[in-house]
Amino acid sequence: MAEIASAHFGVISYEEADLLHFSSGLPAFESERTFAAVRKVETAPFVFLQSLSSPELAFITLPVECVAADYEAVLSAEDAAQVGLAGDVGAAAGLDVRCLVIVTVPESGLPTANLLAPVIWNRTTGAAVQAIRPEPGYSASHPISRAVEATPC
Amino acid sequence: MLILRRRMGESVLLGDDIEIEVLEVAHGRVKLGIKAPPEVSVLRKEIQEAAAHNLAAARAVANGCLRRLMDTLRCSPAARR
Repeated sequence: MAEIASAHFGVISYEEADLLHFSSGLPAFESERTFAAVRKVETAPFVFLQSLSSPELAFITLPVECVAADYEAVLSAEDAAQVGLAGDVGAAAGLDVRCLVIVTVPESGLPTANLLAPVIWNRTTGAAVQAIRPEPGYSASHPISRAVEATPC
Repeated sequence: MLILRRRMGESVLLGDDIEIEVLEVAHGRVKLGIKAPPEVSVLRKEIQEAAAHNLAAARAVANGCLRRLMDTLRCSPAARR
């Protein structure tokens, strides 16, 4: 058990199994390699990704199934290799793979989730990547409030 | 927008020192080779868009959006039902 003093969520305790290791960071945050996934009862089903190197950097995310039940994550060969998958998350039988979408809360208007760039997290190894989907069909600003309330996840 | 037709192996020049060559065309995809000075940023557009969304998401967290998010969800029509 280790702890980090987050600038936004107070002191967070985490275990090795809660860590996401991004071998090349995230777009705009290329030097941020390790995040802890934090879930709190009072803010479920949201999952916070707290940077271990920058206490002030955190993302609010949701498991994609809370936002889009029939979501299909398609990974490029490079992204799949980074998280140790064969290119199709659905085919990764036996591995604990999570798909989180990053939430943006605008000053006004509905919060949105970025379905075009999901975070794929292989919990078996801790390897994670933000997979950028060039294929259209999903929105980078998918409104979430009703979906989260309506979906048990 | 300037529109040009190019075949495999042909190039387009941008200014004096940027060259974009069509290396391969197959199955609805184009493989491009780009020669540019190191100070010129070359990005797939979707990466730049993901970067902009990540920055906005992180900025909202830094501005204390978590409480607003929870309030929005509690006040949403779905939550009141």
